[in-house]
Amino acid sequence: MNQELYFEATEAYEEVAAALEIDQQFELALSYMRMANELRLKQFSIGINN
Amino acid sequence: MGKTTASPDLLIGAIGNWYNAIVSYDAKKAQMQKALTEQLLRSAVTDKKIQTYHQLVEFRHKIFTNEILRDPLPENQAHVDESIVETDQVLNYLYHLMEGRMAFQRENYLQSLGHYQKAERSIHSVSELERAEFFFLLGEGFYRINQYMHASLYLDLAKEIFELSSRHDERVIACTSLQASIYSELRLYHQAEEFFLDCLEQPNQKPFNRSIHLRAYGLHKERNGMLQDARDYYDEALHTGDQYDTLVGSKTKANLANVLLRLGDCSGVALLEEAEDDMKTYNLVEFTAGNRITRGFTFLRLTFYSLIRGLTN
Repeated sequence: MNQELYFEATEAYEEVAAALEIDQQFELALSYMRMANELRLKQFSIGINN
Repeated sequence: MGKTTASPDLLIGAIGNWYNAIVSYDAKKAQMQKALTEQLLRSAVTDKKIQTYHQLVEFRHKIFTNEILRDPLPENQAHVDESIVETDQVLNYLYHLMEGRMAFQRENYLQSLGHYQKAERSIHSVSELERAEFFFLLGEGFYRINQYMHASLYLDLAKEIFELSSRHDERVIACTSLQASIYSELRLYHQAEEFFLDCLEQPNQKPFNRSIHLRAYGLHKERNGMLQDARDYYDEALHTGDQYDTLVGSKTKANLANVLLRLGDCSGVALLEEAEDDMKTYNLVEFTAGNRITRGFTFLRLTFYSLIRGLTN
Protein backbone atom coordinates (compact mmCIF):
# COMPACT_ATOMS: atom_id res chain seq x y z
CA MET A 1 0.00 0.00 0.00
CA ASN A 2 1.37 3.38 -0.97
CA GLN A 3 0.80 5.56 2.10
CA GLU A 4 1.94 8.72 0.35
CA LEU A 5 -0.88 8.26 -2.12
CA TYR A 6 -3.40 8.48 0.73
CA PHE A 7 -1.89 11.74 1.97
CA GLU A 8 -1.72 13.23 -1.52
CA ALA A 9 -5.31 12.28 -2.35
CA THR A 10 -6.56 13.73 0.95
CA GLU A 11 -4.70 16.98 0.35
CA ALA A 12 -5.96 17.17 -3.24
CA TYR A 13 -9.59 16.85 -2.08
CA GLU A 14 -8.97 19.56 0.50
CA GLU A 15 -7.43 21.92 -2.03
CA VAL A 16 -10.41 21.50 -4.35
CA ALA A 17 -12.77 22.09 -1.40
CA ALA A 18 -10.90 25.29 -0.46
CA ALA A 19 -11.03 26.58 -4.05
CA LEU A 20 -14.76 25.87 -4.27
CA GLU A 21 -15.35 27.63 -0.96
CA ILE A 22 -13.58 30.75 -2.26
CA ASP A 23 -15.82 30.48 -5.31
CA GLN A 24 -18.80 30.36 -2.88
CA GLN A 25 -19.89 26.93 -4.10
CA PHE A 26 -20.49 25.78 -0.58
CA GLU A 27 -22.48 22.61 -1.20
CA LEU A 28 -19.89 21.26 -3.60
CA ALA A 29 -17.04 22.36 -1.31
CA LEU A 30 -18.66 20.44 1.53
CA SER A 31 -18.90 17.25 -0.51
CA TYR A 32 -15.16 17.46 -1.30
CA MET A 33 -14.45 18.10 2.38
CA ARG A 34 -16.42 15.00 3.24
CA MET A 35 -14.38 12.94 0.78
CA ALA A 36 -11.14 14.26 2.28
CA ASN A 37 -12.46 13.43 5.73
CA GLU A 38 -13.41 9.90 4.72
CA LEU A 39 -9.86 9.32 3.50
CA ARG A 40 -8.47 10.69 6.75
CA LEU A 41 -10.69 8.38 8.79
CA LYS A 42 -9.60 5.52 6.58
CA GLN A 43 -5.94 6.39 7.25
CA PHE A 44 -6.66 6.27 10.95
CA SER A 45 -8.59 3.00 10.88
CA ILE A 46 -5.95 1.13 8.88
CA GLY A 47 -3.07 2.47 10.92
CA ILE A 48 -1.23 4.80 8.54
CA ASN A 49 -0.81 7.22 11.43
CA ASN A 50 1.02 4.77 13.67
CA MET B 1 14.78 37.40 18.56
CA GLY B 2 14.33 33.62 18.15
CA LYS B 3 10.95 32.11 17.36
CA THR B 4 9.27 30.65 20.43
CA THR B 5 7.74 27.20 20.34
CA ALA B 6 4.24 26.59 21.72
CA SER B 7 3.86 23.57 23.97
CA PRO B 8 1.99 20.64 22.35
CA ASP B 9 -0.06 20.48 25.58
CA LEU B 10 -1.37 24.00 25.01
CA LEU B 11 -2.29 23.09 21.46
CA ILE B 12 -4.00 19.84 22.52
CA GLY B 13 -5.91 21.77 25.20
CA ALA B 14 -7.06 24.37 22.66
CA ILE B 15 -8.21 21.71 20.17
CA GLY B 16 -10.06 19.93 23.00
CA ASN B 17 -11.84 23.16 24.01
CA TRP B 18 -12.66 23.84 20.36
CA TYR B 19 -14.17 20.36 19.97
CA ASN B 20 -16.18 20.77 23.20
CA ALA B 21 -17.55 24.11 21.95
CA ILE B 22 -18.66 22.46 18.69
CA VAL B 23 -20.30 19.56 20.54
CA SER B 24 -22.13 22.00 22.83
CA TYR B 25 -23.18 24.05 19.79
CA ASP B 26 -21.46 27.22 21.03
CA ALA B 27 -20.53 28.99 17.76
CA LYS B 28 -18.87 32.00 19.36
CA LYS B 29 -16.61 29.94 21.61
CA ALA B 30 -15.87 27.50 18.76
CA GLN B 31 -14.70 30.39 16.59
CA MET B 32 -12.49 31.76 19.39
CA GLN B 33 -10.92 28.37 20.09
CA LYS B 34 -10.39 27.81 16.36
CA ALA B 35 -8.46 31.09 16.13
CA LEU B 36 -6.41 30.20 19.21
CA THR B 37 -5.65 26.73 17.82
CA GLU B 38 -4.50 28.17 14.51
CA GLN B 39 -2.26 30.65 16.30
CA LEU B 40 -0.67 27.90 18.41
CA LEU B 41 -0.38 25.61 15.42
CA ARG B 42 2.01 28.05 13.73
CA SER B 43 4.63 27.57 16.40
CA ALA B 44 3.95 24.13 17.91
CA VAL B 45 5.79 20.95 17.06
CA THR B 46 3.11 18.36 16.30
CA ASP B 47 3.09 14.64 15.64
CA LYS B 48 0.88 12.87 13.11
CA LYS B 49 -1.75 12.05 15.70
CA ILE B 50 -2.16 15.66 16.82
CA GLN B 51 -2.40 16.70 13.16
CA THR B 52 -5.18 14.15 12.56
CA TYR B 53 -6.94 15.36 15.71
CA HIS B 54 -6.77 18.96 14.48
CA GLN B 55 -7.90 18.11 10.94
CA LEU B 56 -10.90 16.09 12.14
CA VAL B 57 -12.00 18.88 14.49
CA GLU B 58 -11.56 21.35 11.64
CA PHE B 59 -13.80 19.20 9.44
CA ARG B 60 -16.35 19.00 12.27
CA HIS B 61 -16.19 22.80 12.61
CA LYS B 62 -16.89 23.29 8.91
CA ILE B 63 -19.89 20.99 9.04
CA PHE B 64 -21.07 22.80 12.17
CA THR B 65 -20.76 26.31 10.68
CA ASN B 66 -22.36 25.14 7.46
CA GLU B 67 -25.34 23.87 9.45
CA ILE B 68 -25.62 27.19 11.28
CA LEU B 69 -25.02 29.59 8.40
CA ARG B 70 -26.26 27.90 5.29
CA ASP B 71 -28.26 24.84 6.18
CA PRO B 72 -30.23 25.58 9.38
CA LEU B 73 -32.40 22.70 10.46
CA PRO B 74 -35.82 22.95 12.05
CA GLU B 75 -35.78 22.37 15.80
CA ASN B 76 -35.61 18.75 17.02
CA GLN B 77 -34.37 17.58 13.66
CA ALA B 78 -30.85 16.39 13.11
CA HIS B 79 -28.84 15.21 10.15
CA VAL B 80 -28.33 11.46 10.14
CA ASP B 81 -24.95 11.51 8.55
CA GLU B 82 -22.77 8.43 8.66
CA SER B 83 -19.51 10.27 8.05
CA ILE B 84 -20.24 12.56 11.00
CA VAL B 85 -21.07 9.61 13.23
CA GLU B 86 -17.79 7.97 12.22
CA THR B 87 -15.85 11.22 12.67
CA ASP B 88 -17.36 11.68 16.13
CA GLN B 89 -16.38 8.17 17.17
CA VAL B 90 -12.76 8.77 16.18
CA LEU B 91 -12.86 12.24 17.74
CA ASN B 92 -14.32 10.86 20.95
CA TYR B 93 -11.42 8.42 21.03
CA LEU B 94 -8.80 11.08 20.18
CA TYR B 95 -10.24 13.68 22.55
CA HIS B 96 -10.15 11.37 25.57
CA LEU B 97 -6.80 9.91 24.54
CA MET B 98 -5.20 13.37 24.31
CA GLU B 99 -6.80 14.64 27.53
CA GLY B 100 -5.74 11.40 29.25
CA ARG B 101 -2.17 11.85 28.04
CA MET B 102 -2.07 15.42 29.33
CA ALA B 103 -3.50 14.42 32.73
CA PHE B 104 -0.91 11.65 32.87
CA GLN B 105 1.92 14.12 32.24
CA ARG B 106 0.57 16.30 35.05
CA GLU B 107 0.72 13.16 37.25
CA ASN B 108 -3.05 13.15 37.66
CA TYR B 109 -3.26 9.41 37.07
CA LEU B 110 -6.85 8.78 38.16
CA GLN B 111 -8.16 11.55 35.91
CA SER B 112 -5.99 10.16 33.14
CA LEU B 113 -7.45 6.65 33.54
CA GLY B 114 -10.97 8.11 33.57
CA HIS B 115 -10.30 9.62 30.12
CA TYR B 116 -8.74 6.40 28.85
CA GLN B 117 -11.79 4.43 29.93
CA LYS B 118 -14.00 6.82 27.95
CA ALA B 119 -11.67 6.50 24.96
CA GLU B 120 -11.94 2.72 25.19
CA ARG B 121 -15.64 2.96 24.30
CA SER B 122 -14.67 4.12 20.81
CA ILE B 123 -11.68 1.80 20.36
CA HIS B 124 -13.48 -0.20 17.64
CA SER B 125 -13.00 2.77 15.24
CA VAL B 126 -9.21 2.58 15.29
CA SER B 127 -6.49 0.39 13.81
CA GLU B 128 -4.73 -2.55 15.52
CA LEU B 129 -1.55 -0.54 16.06
CA GLU B 130 -3.50 2.35 17.51
CA ARG B 131 -5.15 -0.14 19.85
CA ALA B 132 -1.72 -1.41 20.89
CA GLU B 133 -0.67 2.19 21.60
CA PHE B 134 -3.80 2.65 23.67
CA PHE B 135 -3.27 -0.59 25.64
CA PHE B 136 0.28 0.57 26.32
CA LEU B 137 -0.98 3.87 27.76
CA LEU B 138 -3.51 2.02 29.92
CA GLY B 139 -0.77 -0.32 31.13
CA GLU B 140 1.37 2.67 32.01
CA GLY B 141 -1.57 4.38 33.76
CA PHE B 142 -2.45 1.35 35.88
CA TYR B 143 1.23 0.91 36.74
CA ARG B 144 1.36 4.47 38.11
CA ILE B 145 -1.54 3.81 40.50
CA ASN B 146 -0.02 0.48 41.60
CA GLN B 147 -2.65 -1.70 39.91
CA TYR B 148 -0.09 -4.18 38.70
CA MET B 149 -2.47 -6.96 37.58
CA HIS B 150 -4.33 -4.60 35.24
CA ALA B 151 -1.09 -2.98 34.12
CA SER B 152 0.47 -6.33 33.29
CA LEU B 153 -2.60 -7.47 31.36
CA TYR B 154 -2.67 -4.34 29.15
CA LEU B 155 1.09 -4.39 28.59
CA ASP B 156 0.89 -8.03 27.42
CA LEU B 157 -1.89 -7.08 24.99
CA ALA B 158 0.10 -4.12 23.66
CA LYS B 159 3.33 -6.09 23.31
CA GLU B 160 1.58 -8.90 21.44
CA ILE B 161 0.47 -6.46 18.73
CA PHE B 162 3.67 -4.37 18.63
CA GLU B 163 5.78 -7.51 18.16
CA LEU B 164 4.02 -8.17 14.86
CA SER B 165 5.24 -4.84 13.45
CA SER B 166 8.80 -4.29 12.26
CA ARG B 167 8.50 -0.55 13.00
CA HIS B 168 7.65 -0.82 16.70
CA ASP B 169 10.78 -2.26 18.32
CA GLU B 170 11.03 0.75 20.65
CA ARG B 171 7.49 0.15 21.85
CA VAL B 172 8.23 -3.54 22.54
CA ILE B 173 11.23 -2.43 24.63
CA ALA B 174 9.09 0.14 26.47
CA CYS B 175 6.58 -2.63 27.34
CA THR B 176 9.43 -4.85 28.60
CA SER B 177 10.82 -1.98 30.69
CA LEU B 178 7.46 -1.39 32.37
CA GLN B 179 7.02 -5.13 32.97
CA ALA B 180 10.49 -5.12 34.57
CA SER B 181 9.42 -2.24 36.83
CA ILE B 182 6.30 -4.18 37.86
CA TYR B 183 8.46 -7.18 38.83
CA SER B 184 10.71 -4.80 40.75
CA GLU B 185 7.76 -3.27 42.64
CA LEU B 186 6.58 -6.79 43.49
CA ARG B 187 10.05 -7.52 44.89
CA LEU B 188 10.73 -10.16 42.24
CA TYR B 189 14.33 -9.05 41.89
CA HIS B 190 15.65 -11.69 39.47
CA GLN B 191 12.75 -11.46 37.00
CA ALA B 192 13.09 -7.68 37.08
CA GLU B 193 16.85 -7.90 36.41
CA GLU B 194 16.25 -10.25 33.47
CA PHE B 195 13.69 -7.93 31.88
CA PHE B 196 15.76 -4.76 32.50
CA LEU B 197 18.90 -6.29 31.02
CA ASP B 198 16.89 -7.46 28.02
CA CYS B 199 15.78 -3.83 27.53
CA LEU B 200 19.15 -2.21 27.96
CA GLU B 201 20.94 -4.68 25.69
CA GLN B 202 18.68 -3.87 22.72
CA PRO B 203 20.69 -2.02 20.05
CA ASN B 204 19.60 1.06 18.08
CA GLN B 205 17.36 2.58 20.74
CA LYS B 206 16.63 6.28 20.59
CA PRO B 207 18.92 7.89 23.22
CA PHE B 208 16.05 9.54 25.09
CA ASN B 209 14.11 6.26 25.32
CA ARG B 210 17.25 4.53 26.58
CA SER B 211 17.60 7.24 29.23
CA ILE B 212 14.07 6.42 30.48
CA HIS B 213 14.97 2.72 30.82
CA LEU B 214 18.21 3.65 32.62
CA ARG B 215 16.24 5.72 35.11
CA ALA B 216 13.80 2.83 35.66
CA TYR B 217 16.77 0.52 36.26
CA GLY B 218 18.19 3.05 38.74
CA LEU B 219 14.85 3.07 40.61
CA HIS B 220 14.95 -0.73 40.70
CA LYS B 221 18.47 -0.67 42.18
CA GLU B 222 17.45 1.96 44.75
CA ARG B 223 14.37 -0.09 45.67
CA ASN B 224 16.71 -2.97 46.48
CA GLY B 225 19.07 -0.86 48.58
CA MET B 226 21.89 -0.82 46.00
CA LEU B 227 22.52 2.91 46.31
CA GLN B 228 25.87 3.12 44.47
CA ASP B 229 24.41 1.30 41.46
CA ALA B 230 21.31 3.51 41.61
CA ARG B 231 23.51 6.64 41.67
CA ASP B 232 25.45 5.45 38.59
CA TYR B 233 22.33 4.63 36.57
CA TYR B 234 20.60 7.90 37.48
CA ASP B 235 23.72 9.78 36.46
CA GLU B 236 23.94 7.88 33.16
CA ALA B 237 20.22 8.47 32.53
CA LEU B 238 20.60 12.22 33.10
CA HIS B 239 23.42 12.42 30.59
CA THR B 240 21.81 10.26 27.90
CA GLY B 241 19.56 11.66 25.18
CA ASP B 242 19.43 15.18 26.65
CA GLN B 243 17.29 13.98 29.54
CA TYR B 244 18.91 16.56 31.83
CA ASP B 245 16.78 19.48 30.59
CA THR B 246 13.44 17.66 30.45
CA LEU B 247 10.62 17.09 32.93
CA VAL B 248 11.75 13.49 33.44
CA GLY B 249 15.28 14.81 33.96
CA SER B 250 14.01 16.91 36.88
CA LYS B 251 12.62 13.78 38.50
CA THR B 252 15.90 11.95 37.94
CA LYS B 253 17.78 14.88 39.51
CA ALA B 254 15.55 14.57 42.60
CA ASN B 255 16.18 10.79 42.73
CA LEU B 256 19.93 11.27 42.30
CA ALA B 257 20.07 14.05 44.91
CA ASN B 258 18.27 11.82 47.41
CA VAL B 259 20.65 8.90 46.79
CA LEU B 260 23.76 11.14 46.92
CA LEU B 261 22.70 12.56 50.27
CA ARG B 262 21.97 9.11 51.64
CA LEU B 263 25.48 8.13 50.55
CA GLY B 264 26.84 11.17 52.41
CA ASP B 265 27.82 12.99 49.22
CA CYS B 266 27.23 16.75 49.71
CA SER B 267 27.02 17.42 45.94
CA GLY B 268 23.45 16.19 46.42
CA VAL B 269 22.49 19.52 48.04
CA ALA B 270 23.15 21.59 44.88
CA LEU B 271 21.36 19.01 42.76
CA LEU B 272 18.41 19.00 45.16
CA GLU B 273 18.13 22.78 44.82
CA GLU B 274 18.25 22.49 41.05
CA ALA B 275 15.54 19.81 41.17
CA GLU B 276 13.40 22.01 43.44
CA ASP B 277 13.62 24.90 40.98
CA ASP B 278 12.63 22.55 38.14
CA MET B 279 9.66 21.23 40.13
CA LYS B 280 8.33 24.77 40.51
CA THR B 281 8.61 25.28 36.75
CA TYR B 282 6.83 22.00 35.97
CA ASN B 283 4.48 22.19 38.98
CA LEU B 284 5.15 18.59 40.03
CA VAL B 285 3.39 18.23 43.37
CA GLU B 286 4.43 14.65 44.15
CA PHE B 287 8.10 15.35 43.56
CA THR B 288 8.02 18.71 45.37
CA ALA B 289 6.76 16.82 48.44
CA GLY B 290 9.48 14.20 47.91
CA ASN B 291 12.13 16.91 47.74
CA ARG B 292 10.91 18.43 51.00
CA ILE B 293 11.31 15.04 52.66
CA THR B 294 14.85 14.77 51.25
CA ARG B 295 15.57 18.30 52.50
CA GLY B 296 14.17 17.49 55.95
CA PHE B 297 16.18 14.30 56.03
CA THR B 298 19.36 16.22 55.07
CA PHE B 299 18.70 18.85 57.73
CA LEU B 300 18.26 16.16 60.41
CA ARG B 301 21.36 14.37 59.25
CA LEU B 302 23.48 17.55 59.27
CA THR B 303 22.12 18.48 62.72
CA PHE B 304 22.96 14.98 63.93
CA TYR B 305 26.56 15.29 62.58
CA SER B 306 26.94 18.73 64.25
CA LEU B 307 25.75 17.28 67.56
CA ILE B 308 28.14 14.32 67.31
CA ARG B 309 30.99 16.72 66.41
CA GLY B 310 30.04 18.93 69.38
CA LEU B 311 30.04 15.94 71.71
CA THR B 312 33.35 14.57 70.48
CA ASN B 313 35.24 17.91 70.34
